[in-house]
Amino acid sequence: MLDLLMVSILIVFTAICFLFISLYGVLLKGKDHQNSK
Amino acid sequence: MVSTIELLLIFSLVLALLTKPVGLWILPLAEGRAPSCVAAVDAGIMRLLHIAPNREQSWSMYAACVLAFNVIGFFFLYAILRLQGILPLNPAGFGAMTPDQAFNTAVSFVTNTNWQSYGGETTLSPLSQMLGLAVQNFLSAATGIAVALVVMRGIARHEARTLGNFWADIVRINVWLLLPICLVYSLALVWQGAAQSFDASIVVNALSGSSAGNVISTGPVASQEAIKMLGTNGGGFFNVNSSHPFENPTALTNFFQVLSIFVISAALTYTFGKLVKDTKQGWTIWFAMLVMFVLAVLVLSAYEHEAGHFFASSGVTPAEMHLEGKEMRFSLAHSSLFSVVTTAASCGAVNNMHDSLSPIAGAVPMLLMLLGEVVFGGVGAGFYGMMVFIIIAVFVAGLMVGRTPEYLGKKIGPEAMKIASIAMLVTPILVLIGVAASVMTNTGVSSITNPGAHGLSQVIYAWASAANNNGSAFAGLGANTYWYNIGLGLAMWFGRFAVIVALLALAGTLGRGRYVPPSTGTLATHGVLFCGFLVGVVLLVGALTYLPAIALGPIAEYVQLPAF
Repeated sequence: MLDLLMVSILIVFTAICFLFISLYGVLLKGKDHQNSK
Repeated sequence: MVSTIELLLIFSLVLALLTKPVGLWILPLAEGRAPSCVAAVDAGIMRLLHIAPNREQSWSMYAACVLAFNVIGFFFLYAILRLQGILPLNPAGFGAMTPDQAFNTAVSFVTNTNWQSYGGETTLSPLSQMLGLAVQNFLSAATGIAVALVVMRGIARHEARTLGNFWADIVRINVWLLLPICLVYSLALVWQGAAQSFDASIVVNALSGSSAGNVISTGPVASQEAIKMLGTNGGGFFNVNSSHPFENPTALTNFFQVLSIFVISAALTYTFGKLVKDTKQGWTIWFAMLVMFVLAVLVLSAYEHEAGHFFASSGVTPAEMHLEGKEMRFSLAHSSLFSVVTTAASCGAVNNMHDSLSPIAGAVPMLLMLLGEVVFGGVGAGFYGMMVFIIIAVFVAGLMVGRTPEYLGKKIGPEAMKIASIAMLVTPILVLIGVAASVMTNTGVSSITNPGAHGLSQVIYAWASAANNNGSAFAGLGANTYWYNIGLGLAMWFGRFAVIVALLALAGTLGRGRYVPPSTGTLATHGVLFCGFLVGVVLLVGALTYLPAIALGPIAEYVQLPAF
């Protein structure tokens, strides 16, 4: 049972990091044009 | 003190001499290819592994691969630690680690932290040490270097949407950099007397003829020791780490151990200079790191020398005080240098007990970690951590003169600044909230073995060490509890991967920017002026963020000393 909990915690941690990738992706989206000025 | 300065000079000279050749060896890896002399073999390895090195990835795909690779590493290591009791190569018959400790240890080794809430020789089998921990030592070090190389490419490339292939990078860094050096390094350690055996222990007879109680732990130490230092991992085979004669047998191995902690991180600055076709840029970063390193060694050593005098009225001689917590085979100079190097980098190996350092001397390794371990730093992590400070320094300088900040032909736009700010804020948030939560809860406070200011220092040190992926400890803190195993696990994970994702995003945005030729108003990012400015920014940011915590811990302890 505790093993399941530990694995779940790690999966949540990882999901949050993947969320960061998406958030940065949104932050940088549409910036190509600005960078090329 | 004179011996410390002599050792520091020799160490810095040897490090400077190694920076260029090792940096040149890494250069082709940064360019996305294997060194020319091994290109044919490399091509064969890539074919064998079905890796297409020329199929490069965007920053987001690269980040996803980094995360996926390390999550698999976590599950693999967690399974080994939990199934240890039924796995082979377990001569001492150790049982499984508890779930929370296995979680903490797996996160710790995957994130290059190597925080250890267990004693290796009394907990882990040779199989767990070799197949579990040593493998992650290589892979986590390679992950850090790979991210640093991507950041370099982001700065060196213009209008580029791709920044390299993670799988090719991770294989090449292991096969062409870490493994060859570690092979020679391990053999040299064995030559000097480090243990390397599949036995768990040996029994020796005392002079009386009895063997009762004379059990000496051993195991495959040398092979793990090499990558432990070179990869700035720091997780010792034995509980006392590099104080143990089987891990660190002689003065010569001690010197090479501290040198090997810094060598790749120092070399990466030269690689960067070559990649952006201006080696002065790399050397400027190198010297900024050296200035902070020298300052740290001198302060730590001076306060350790001073410490003995505070207790003279209690009948303790200064020399006795200096040796408290030290391994007797090494002098104060060797211990001081080791303590600074291991915390300036994200290594965390120790050859003396940091909990026994005098208050201000103990604050030095603590502060080095809190600054983000950018003084040469962990392999790769030191370079990309310093790049955050460089972006901030360039931005601040740009504000001063009223120009858009530029770095090596790249305009530093708002999105780059936002990402750099997030990267810089991750670890302070983890450390300060973690410390506050620990001292507000009974479970957090109950692990403190020294009440008062030193107890707070133990807690600050633990969170600083975890969030910055160092792994050393003020070992008086009893950290094998649910609170610290899981809480520090969280700090290690986000201290590593939240920062890595931010840096890869930063590399992505810089890589897509077009080249802006320097003009007369462009800030020169090489030379003494920028070097000094960069050091100032690092120290100022660190001081502003952590001074209250440091004041309540080590500084409060210092002013409470009997003879202050």
